Amino acid sequence: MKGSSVADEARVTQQDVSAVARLTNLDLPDDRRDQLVTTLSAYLENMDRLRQIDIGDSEPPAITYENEAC
Amino acid sequence: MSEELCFATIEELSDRLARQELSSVELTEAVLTRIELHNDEMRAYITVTREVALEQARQAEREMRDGNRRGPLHGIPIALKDNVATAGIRTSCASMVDPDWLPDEDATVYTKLREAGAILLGKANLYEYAFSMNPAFPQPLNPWHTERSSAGSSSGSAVSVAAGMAHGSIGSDTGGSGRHPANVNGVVGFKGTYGLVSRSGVVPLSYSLDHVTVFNRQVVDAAIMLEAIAGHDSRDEYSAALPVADMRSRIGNDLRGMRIGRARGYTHENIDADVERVTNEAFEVLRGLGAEIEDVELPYVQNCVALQQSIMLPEAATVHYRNLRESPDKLGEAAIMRLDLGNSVPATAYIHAQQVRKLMRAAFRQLFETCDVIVGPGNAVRAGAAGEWTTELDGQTIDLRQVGPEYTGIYNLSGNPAIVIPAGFSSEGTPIGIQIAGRWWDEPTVLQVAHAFEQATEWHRQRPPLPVG
Repeated sequence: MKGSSVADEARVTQQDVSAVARLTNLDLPDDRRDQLVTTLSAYLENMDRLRQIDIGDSEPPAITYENEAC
Repeated sequence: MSEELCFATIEELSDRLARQELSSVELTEAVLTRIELHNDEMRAYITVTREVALEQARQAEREMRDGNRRGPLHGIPIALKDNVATAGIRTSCASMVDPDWLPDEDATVYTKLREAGAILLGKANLYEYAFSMNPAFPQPLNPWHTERSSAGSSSGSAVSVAAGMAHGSIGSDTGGSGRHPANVNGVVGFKGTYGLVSRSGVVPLSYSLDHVTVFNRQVVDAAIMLEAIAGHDSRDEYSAALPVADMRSRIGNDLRGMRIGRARGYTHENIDADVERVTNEAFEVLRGLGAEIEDVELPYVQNCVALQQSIMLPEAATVHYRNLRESPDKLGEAAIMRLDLGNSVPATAYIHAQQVRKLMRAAFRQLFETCDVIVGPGNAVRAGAAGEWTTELDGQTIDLRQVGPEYTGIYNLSGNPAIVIPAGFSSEGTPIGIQIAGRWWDEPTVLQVAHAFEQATEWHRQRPPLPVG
């Protein structure tokens, strides 16, 4: 996002951020909304790349975490 | 004499204490005096527990005089990161949310250290909730170069050891929070396998990524401390119910035939000439010790930033939801920004990331069939400017938060044990380390390689100039 305005490049809009604030029950003042537009846009680009990894249908997530000896 | 005591190793001091050539009171007073001289400027400690330390030291002295030595940590002064709960002792987490919190119970890691006879010097400075720099709690100085960063989040834990203001310390490491400060402050920083050390009572940042780290001046000391704090604890849901290995069992063994994978595949590889030089020299040392070295591609390494964001941020936002909702004015600006993002990560993204993490662990399992340990730089870049998230390198601006996950965060995601040890210096005089990672539960081999390298070099014997105070 360096060197360009949020409005030019952001994939997330102020309206999207307002919806997130409603859904998460958080009161976001304007400066935090502006910041979130930028950081969320950058995050979603990273996430797009992560989504390209094929995980199949049956891979359970690593939420419970038991390392085995190997 | 006093300075010699402050920079001595646990191994040396333990021996002198056992033979009663030195008393724990004398040792503790020496370190407390150094802290009094330097802490106002170094800012390694948020709270110094002078009276607690002296009382514990007197008790240790009595017990040893009566022939009741508890082990190698008996009478040794240590520090705890100030997110480690200590009953009745201020635990601030470097935050204005509850800066004078007095926990009711000790964290398990402190209980174990007390049982081992260690002496608590105080609570070390950190990033706010181990997460973000907070101007209300200015960062410790890097004792090697006061205009360069001491990194984080366990900055005070690393600086206290580097500056001779503790003989060992405890930190936490969620994406490199232990190993980054070790790297730039010239000390050993070691996190064991996920589940080896209980996090109960360590204020969480990210449940599935948090580890406890030990900081020391040499590898044997790290092994001694890890032995003391490892082991199952039913108070930590993810603590493993497995026997703890003898951490020192392979220390002193040579490296002939050891298969070392040289970590490759980073997005930002070889971008800092000093880091590249130090790393290359380290591999020459390891090769000279008889190790066989081959390049290995770290699995999913270029996805680590997205993985870390997708897992750590929503977990942290869960931990701090109430703080963010009820007292955002008391949180630092940087913490708020990251917590807001954490609240915005979709649940499906979090689960997808945890699934990818499973694939990453399977890939590491395969990789460790071809090598015994993986070695690489501790980070892509040397210490940046103090107080900055970014660093300038050859005209390029590097955001350290976009680099760190590939170098250190990868082993939080995989859960493998990983140690950073001193390996050289930048042209600016700041330390640069290498990182050694091993198979799950194979801390002894990681320590073996780290110790062999350390003993073949002199980097761990260097002392910072400490120009302040």
